[in-house]
Amino acid sequence: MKRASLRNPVLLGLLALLIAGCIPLCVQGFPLYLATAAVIGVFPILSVGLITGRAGIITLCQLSFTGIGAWSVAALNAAGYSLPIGLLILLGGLAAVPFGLLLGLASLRLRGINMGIVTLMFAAAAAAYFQLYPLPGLSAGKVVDRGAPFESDSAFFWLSLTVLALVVGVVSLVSRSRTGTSWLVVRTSERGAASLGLPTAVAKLTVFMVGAAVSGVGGALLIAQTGVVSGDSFGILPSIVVFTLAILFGARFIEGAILGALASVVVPQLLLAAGIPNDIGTLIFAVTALPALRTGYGMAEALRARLARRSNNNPAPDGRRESKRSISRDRSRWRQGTEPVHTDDRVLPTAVEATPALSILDLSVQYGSVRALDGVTISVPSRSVVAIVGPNGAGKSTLVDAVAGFLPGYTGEVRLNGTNLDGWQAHRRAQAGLRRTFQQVRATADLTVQQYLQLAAGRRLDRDEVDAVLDFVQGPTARSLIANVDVGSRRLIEIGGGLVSEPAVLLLDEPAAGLPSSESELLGERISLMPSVFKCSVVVIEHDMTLVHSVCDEVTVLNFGRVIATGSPKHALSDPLVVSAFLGAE
Amino acid sequence: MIESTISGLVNGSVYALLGLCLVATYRTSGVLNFAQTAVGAFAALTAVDLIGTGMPTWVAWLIAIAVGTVVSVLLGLMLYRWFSQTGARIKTSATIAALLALLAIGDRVFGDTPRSFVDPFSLFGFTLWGVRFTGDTIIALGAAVVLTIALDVMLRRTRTGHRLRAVAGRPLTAELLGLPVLALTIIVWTFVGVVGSASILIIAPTASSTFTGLSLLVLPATAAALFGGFESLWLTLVGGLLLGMISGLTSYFAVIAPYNATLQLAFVTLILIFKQRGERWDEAR
Amino acid sequence: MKTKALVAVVALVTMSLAGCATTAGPASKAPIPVGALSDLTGAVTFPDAAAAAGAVFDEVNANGGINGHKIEYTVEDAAGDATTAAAGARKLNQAGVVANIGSTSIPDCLVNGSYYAQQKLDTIGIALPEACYHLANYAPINTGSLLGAGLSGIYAIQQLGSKSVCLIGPNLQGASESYKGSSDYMKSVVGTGFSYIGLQDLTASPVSYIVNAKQSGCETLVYAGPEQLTGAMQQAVRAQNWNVNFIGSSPAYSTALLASLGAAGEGMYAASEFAPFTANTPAVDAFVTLMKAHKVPVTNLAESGYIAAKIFVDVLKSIKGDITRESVSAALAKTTAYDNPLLAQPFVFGPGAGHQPNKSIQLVQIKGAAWVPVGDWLTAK
Repeated sequence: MKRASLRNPVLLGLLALLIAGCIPLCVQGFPLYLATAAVIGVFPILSVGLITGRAGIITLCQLSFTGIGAWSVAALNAAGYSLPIGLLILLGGLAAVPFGLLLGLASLRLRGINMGIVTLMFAAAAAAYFQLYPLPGLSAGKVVDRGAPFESDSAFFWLSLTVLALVVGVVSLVSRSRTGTSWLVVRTSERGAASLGLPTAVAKLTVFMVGAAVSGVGGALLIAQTGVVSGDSFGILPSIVVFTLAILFGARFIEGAILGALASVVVPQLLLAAGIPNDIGTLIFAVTALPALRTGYGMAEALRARLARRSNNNPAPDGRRESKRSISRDRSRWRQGTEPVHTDDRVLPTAVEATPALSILDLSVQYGSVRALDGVTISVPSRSVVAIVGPNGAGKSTLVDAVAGFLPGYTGEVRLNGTNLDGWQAHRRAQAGLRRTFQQVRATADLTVQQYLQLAAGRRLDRDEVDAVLDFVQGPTARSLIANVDVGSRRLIEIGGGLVSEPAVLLLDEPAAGLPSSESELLGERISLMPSVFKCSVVVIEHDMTLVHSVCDEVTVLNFGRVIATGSPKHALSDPLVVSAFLGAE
Repeated sequence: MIESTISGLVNGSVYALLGLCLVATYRTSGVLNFAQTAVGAFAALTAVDLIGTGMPTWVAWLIAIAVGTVVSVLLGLMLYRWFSQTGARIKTSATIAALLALLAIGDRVFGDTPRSFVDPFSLFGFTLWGVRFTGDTIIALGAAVVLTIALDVMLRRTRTGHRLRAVAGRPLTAELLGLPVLALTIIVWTFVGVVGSASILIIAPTASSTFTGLSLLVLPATAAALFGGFESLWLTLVGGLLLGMISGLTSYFAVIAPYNATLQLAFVTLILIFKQRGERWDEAR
Repeated sequence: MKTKALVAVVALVTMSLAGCATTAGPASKAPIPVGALSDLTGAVTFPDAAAAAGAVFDEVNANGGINGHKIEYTVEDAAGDATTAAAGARKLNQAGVVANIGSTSIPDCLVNGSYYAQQKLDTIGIALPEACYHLANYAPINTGSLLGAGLSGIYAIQQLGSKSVCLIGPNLQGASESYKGSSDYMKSVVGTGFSYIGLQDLTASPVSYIVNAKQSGCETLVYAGPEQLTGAMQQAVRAQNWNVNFIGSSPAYSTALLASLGAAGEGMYAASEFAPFTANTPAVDAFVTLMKAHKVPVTNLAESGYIAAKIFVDVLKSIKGDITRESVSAALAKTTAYDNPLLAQPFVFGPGAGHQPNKSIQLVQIKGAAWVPVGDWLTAK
């Protein structure tokens, strides 16, 4: 019980809050000032934790956002508005949001080191503005008034702590929302996010806006603490220091950001006490950040990993299932056709349906002078399994990309249940019920299986639904972290994700790749059951001909971007053209 | 106005030369090295301090270049040992941490006392549109052009060049193919160290005189390198000169002069977004 | 684990209570705590003034202190950083300093002015940003950039016969306002301001600004940058073959700069804000001797710290009764004029929302590889 309560983040947070809240009762004056500075220092570090730690976008300008927050509060103050402190803090956060949006827009096309360059230059540009336009009221000595009852240092400390608790609460809630989870997914793979129906643009823009707001709130508190702030605090170097601290302490998690802020306040004081100059502290942070960068594990991540290891050694408290389950039992269960999810009006697939689930009409894709797809027409009947086969380089994956919306520049038509999808972005197609999986596994390692499935489904799933799907695909247990399961299982989780979203059509891109033959056989059985159990059509891209033979109603054979045969597996695969295409290629 | 624009060539040659050093590092090691100019600054201030002790200039320069090269190789080995398996984003973050560490060490070691700038090249020069260009600028420009040609030839024509490009592009594959990656890494970072240190030694008298100032020249240098897409050496050269001339021109207009940093940001962001406009996804497939 | 946390809380509480308990009241013959907040680490450092003030206090202590009370001098590092400066001011306040003497920090006045007012803590320091001249509890010992550059411009017009004067200075926080102020002041006295003002980007070569200044036809160039940048600026001016009168700021008046410029520095001016320390007067000799004895470099900033400390010792001596922050503050608030031979006019702190006791410059010039005073004091009205 004790252990469980300590693992509960809300309880732990409240306990930390309680302890921190006692600080003004114990110390006053300079130590209390430092404690307040540490609380305020959490904001920019947390904001790097969101943008770089969660969404994986390098940002070297978070203190510019802090500066913008502080500057706006100073401007309001200098203009003579005496607003309540709470409103000022809110406005400080909001003021930074448009700038976050701007950088977020840049991040839609720029990635990796390019974002590093752009954010660094943004920091330089912002620093130049702070030189040119010092914080309003700075030279005139106009002080930002906290107003009653926050004049006392203790009250202001409690206010800062409360604001931090609120921000942490909001950030945690947002992080758990669909949009917040999509930040983690975007970090792993943008294509993966879109295939789950998550708009990558929204993920990037929101993470930058939330990050900027968190930083801006920190700026407002900073200027409220000292009354005035010099613009020099928001230059390039402080931003780089904050970035380094965020990496070192793993600011992706709130405790990492708190540790980072504490260190940034305590370490210089310790050094001073030891008679060591201030700048050595920066050196220590920079050097110790290197191992954290290398492992991808800041202190908070390392701490969590240790706790997780310890909990794995203990028996699970709530009697959840063991992670390896017996395959044979499940296999027999599904062979009998018992289905826990959809037992209602199941209609057997009929050969002729009014509208096909997916129709691809005259689809062509041109890469420069190479015609990757040339007038491909495929019709996927409702509740059927269709395979697309062909030698390497035949254009199979290009076809999946084009149909799923990852290749905007195709000609021809893609219709889903009669609706024309041309011009729709990938995530909208996924939302409309056209789902896909990838050859390379893209399931987000930081999520649990259950979280991933919920994200894929786009709605809350109850435990039975999750278990049923995992049973169906033979996936790992719902509570396992995806990072801890092998690649083959991750593929199964991705397929499960596609299924729980109740798609009209599920495109499986080489689902059996990397699976041992026994599991591949089992997967084949599952695929053939999908139309009846999940009421969807399945399109399988496969090399494995036994699989194709055993599961498919129809096969389309591609070669050099053209359809060379189509029909029942037996018929199509024995076509002499097909045989020569495969023999010629292999 | 023409004079102001032309005068920007002094800075432009600095940006171009340092930009080329960045491209050289990037193409041979696959790393965008934010600490590049800080390493050079380390060498430059070492030289100044050694000259201050009465050492002959050329000896001081040789020692300084050796110091810069050692720092560069250490950085390269650190990246090789710890970060060879990580992506470009993490490697770049590591160089940012290295920049921060070097800035802290640099401030500590060199402080901010004024330096006696031995500027052996300022004695000769020529005048163009009322702007006098001294030996520093001429040598920086000459060095930039020589470096461009030499790198171009080395990377495209020599065996080492091909190997280096292989290592930069796919270090793991190169290692599996049996290329001597460690030796190549040392060669690259020695080369980068020598060129980077010598470049800063040449430009230090005309550019900034403090360690931090020299280190932060990496920003316009990056902008120049981006103009060439971290690939084209000639475009980097042009980009650096262009950037210098733009800031020279803006310095003429008192109203916009202070917004130089914003102009650089706009310059870089627009180039990047234009180049990447088709990059809707983070990976090819 | 819960118990551990509990232990930690208890430990924290006990520790802090213990910390509170040690604050004791002033005892007789207790030392007089005096502070300073200076940029000691970081990209640009100013350690000299506090070091010089420390030398003065050491000398006083060696001679028995102030009525038997030793001066306990604490220098905090502001590291050129606003948050560190704010923390340093609070630390000094916590330590109960009676005043700050010789503070030399860029962020100090910007971030701590209101805090000093709230804590009634006075400073006699060195003003780096213009904000220092607009604080109730801060009296800068130096003339400052705004007035210094303005007076230099006036000198160029009146004494050097220049028709057009240019100003270039680093683009530091609030600098553009300050340079405009210099120009306005100059205009109010001689009818013409600076014909070109260049806000120098510190990460690039100053050539463009020099070319622009040259184009505008200036006969004198006033440079408002610190010592560290003056050498590079002077060198860049020479590289353009521009024959112009070059007037550096007060910190440029330095023997280190003289040595680093060599023959190239010949003819360059600087605007000293105090009696030139290269002159031969008894007061200067006393200053130089003390600095050498304490191994403090003889610079303009050291001189300012020396004067500030000397004046403060006079203030302390004038106080009857206990020396506390209140009594020091009361003594400073009086309009008593403290004479110092190194200042052009007597130093007055006095009441008021801002203070500028020093309004003078003395031009010095490099002649025959030495700094030589030229002309008389130039004092603003």
